[in-house]
Amino acid sequence: MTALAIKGLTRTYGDLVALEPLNLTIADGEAVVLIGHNGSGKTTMMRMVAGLLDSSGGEVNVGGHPGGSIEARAKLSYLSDSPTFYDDLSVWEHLELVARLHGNGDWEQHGADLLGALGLYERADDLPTQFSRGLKQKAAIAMAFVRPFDLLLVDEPFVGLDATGKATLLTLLDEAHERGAALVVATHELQFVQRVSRCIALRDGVLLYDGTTDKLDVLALV
Amino acid sequence: MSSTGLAALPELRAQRRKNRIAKLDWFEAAYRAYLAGFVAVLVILWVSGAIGGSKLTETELASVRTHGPALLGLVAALAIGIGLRSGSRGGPMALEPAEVRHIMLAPISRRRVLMSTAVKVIRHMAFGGLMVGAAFGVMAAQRLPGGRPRWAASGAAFGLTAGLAMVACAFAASGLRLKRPIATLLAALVLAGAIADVMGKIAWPTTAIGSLALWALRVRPIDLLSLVVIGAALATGLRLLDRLSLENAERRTALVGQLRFAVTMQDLRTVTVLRRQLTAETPRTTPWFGRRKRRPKRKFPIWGRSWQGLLRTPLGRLVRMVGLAAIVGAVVPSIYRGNGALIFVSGIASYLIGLDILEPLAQAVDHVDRTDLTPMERGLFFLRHLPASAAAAVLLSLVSVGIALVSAHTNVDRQIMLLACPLVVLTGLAGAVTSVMMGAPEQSSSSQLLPPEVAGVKIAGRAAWPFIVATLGGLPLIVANRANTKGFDPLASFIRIAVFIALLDGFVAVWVQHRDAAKAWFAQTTKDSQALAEARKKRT
Repeated sequence: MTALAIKGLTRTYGDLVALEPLNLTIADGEAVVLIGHNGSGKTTMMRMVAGLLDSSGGEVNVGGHPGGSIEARAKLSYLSDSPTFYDDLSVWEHLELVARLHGNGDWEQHGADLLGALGLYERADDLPTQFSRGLKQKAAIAMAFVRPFDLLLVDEPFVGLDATGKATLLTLLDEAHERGAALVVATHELQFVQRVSRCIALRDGVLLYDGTTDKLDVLALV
Repeated sequence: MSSTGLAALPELRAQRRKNRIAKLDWFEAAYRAYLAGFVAVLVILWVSGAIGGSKLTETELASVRTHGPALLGLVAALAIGIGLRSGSRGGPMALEPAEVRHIMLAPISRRRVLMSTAVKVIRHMAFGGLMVGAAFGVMAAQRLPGGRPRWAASGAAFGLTAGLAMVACAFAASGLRLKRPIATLLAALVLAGAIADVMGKIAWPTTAIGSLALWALRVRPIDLLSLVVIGAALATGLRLLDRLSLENAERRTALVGQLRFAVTMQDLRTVTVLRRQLTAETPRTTPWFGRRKRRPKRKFPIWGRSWQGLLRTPLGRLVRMVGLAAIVGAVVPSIYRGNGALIFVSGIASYLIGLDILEPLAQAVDHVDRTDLTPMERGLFFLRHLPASAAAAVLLSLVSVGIALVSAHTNVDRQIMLLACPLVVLTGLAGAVTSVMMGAPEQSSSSQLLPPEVAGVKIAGRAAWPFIVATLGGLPLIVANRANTKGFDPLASFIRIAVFIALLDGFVAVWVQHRDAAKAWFAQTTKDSQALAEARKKRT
């Protein structure tokens, strides 16, 4: 089974091509690192897969379901590089919202564990909109993991995190991978690159490399 | 275990409502309601005064019967056009950014989630249209036979239908994922048809909506067909709610909030920039022409930079500017022939041209940190952005001249048109310069002490000033018309006033250069006089 199948996915902005037609398949339980320079098309690709960006052409399938469908949304969790929160909900209330909307009624212990691991438990009743960049990122991480998923898309997750936050996120990613979820993580963090076996590199919207994560190969690409 | 999925949503929304109410500042809310009521009363009084109180003659009444439906149909066409364009950009709903990320990406039916918001939007538009329509109906009853209740009902029916037409078209365009150019084309088509109907060339469906407003005079059941069509469009839009583009919704959510804030702050520049972002009106990657490789030395770098920006004007903005220049060209001969009120139309059109054509200066004002790093006095730096915009304005005024000349029959008329069009466009630019340079009003301690009514008048005066400057460009035409009717030389009269207006335009340029120095001088003088007054007080 494939966790993610992309066929001819493309995006243009007027005369600017942000992503050339892209074909990609990610198997169930596979962990992939996505690398590329700024403006290479990583975020564009992820946002199109998540359904937040309209594609200019091509198809996305998540776990055998068309991208954006209810079934696809149930399987896919997207951790964006720019977290968004409600002004009037606390961290705990955000977790409740996300968990329950994704069918996880028994979320409280899991939520508390996540906040504990991320060092946010004491701030659970605070408003995340008033947090610093790093704390916002941690709240967003908790929200991405509190719900069930088969495919996790993560965009630059380590930016703004302190050492504890980075270590916790790596652990959470490992645990998700062990549970059988497929991971697509856009990052240049070598600690994560070393943990996965497949690397996809984009440059100027074109697929440049799709292969193993030999450290030297990867370093040459970024 | 608590409920999940769609079943959990009402409970979670109730929680948010509770949090919002707990945070609500009731005094602030009451103050806002008071201000809104105050403005509404002012508008109603003004419109009521403008309508007048004497009853219409039989001939005037016949004219209302003949032309009223098409004219009001034009209003409905405008509403439909706005709806179509709004829908193609993710409207008419403006969700919160977090709503898009967390609820729209949840595995629940988007249609069912969005339905309550959609119903709210429909309710607001319907109620707003109904109230405004009824208010105008009551005011129209002052001059029309039939009594207030009947006119209020007719006005309400028209307002309600026009409001529903707007929102129905917006939902349909959003659900059908109409591309922006197609929505704009359709809006232009609807508007063009309505204009043709006003001119008596064709019969256009929007006139049926306009006709509802005249039901106090006569009842035409066929007008109700418009409601059926609007109902069908609304049903289609609501059925396709789940096809809402999240990309458009997310962009809209971020911008609409900022736009509302900028409007409340009377920050026209921010409103302009955000509106452009909302309509995805981005500069062209490559200039229209004159793309050169690299020029190592430029004699006039700011002139060059201004043209680099102007030559990247996107097609939509260019079309709008040419359209506005055409309006100026169409209106200028009418002002000269005696329709003095059209001076406001030419003023607004030229002012809007000015705002678009003044982009290089606006960019310099926006990026004040970069401006202040330039080794040049700020006023002079701003001033040097004006020649390119003025030159572009003169070029654009050629469109106005071309259209104005069509209806000029004598040599004198032609000479006046030839001079008037550039003057009107340049004075519009001067109005835009004052607007861009003034920016948003500053919150001074003295303005905070003013009662809301006085502060409101001050704010209104400040906001109106650029329009007043822009409108002055048409003044020589009115003078020329008066001179003509009294047997004097219209061209000589025109030139006398035109020179004065041109000097005013020049004064605006001088103000741009010396504004900072003048402000500093004024502040210092005020400080000195205050110190002097205090010293005198101590002596006595």
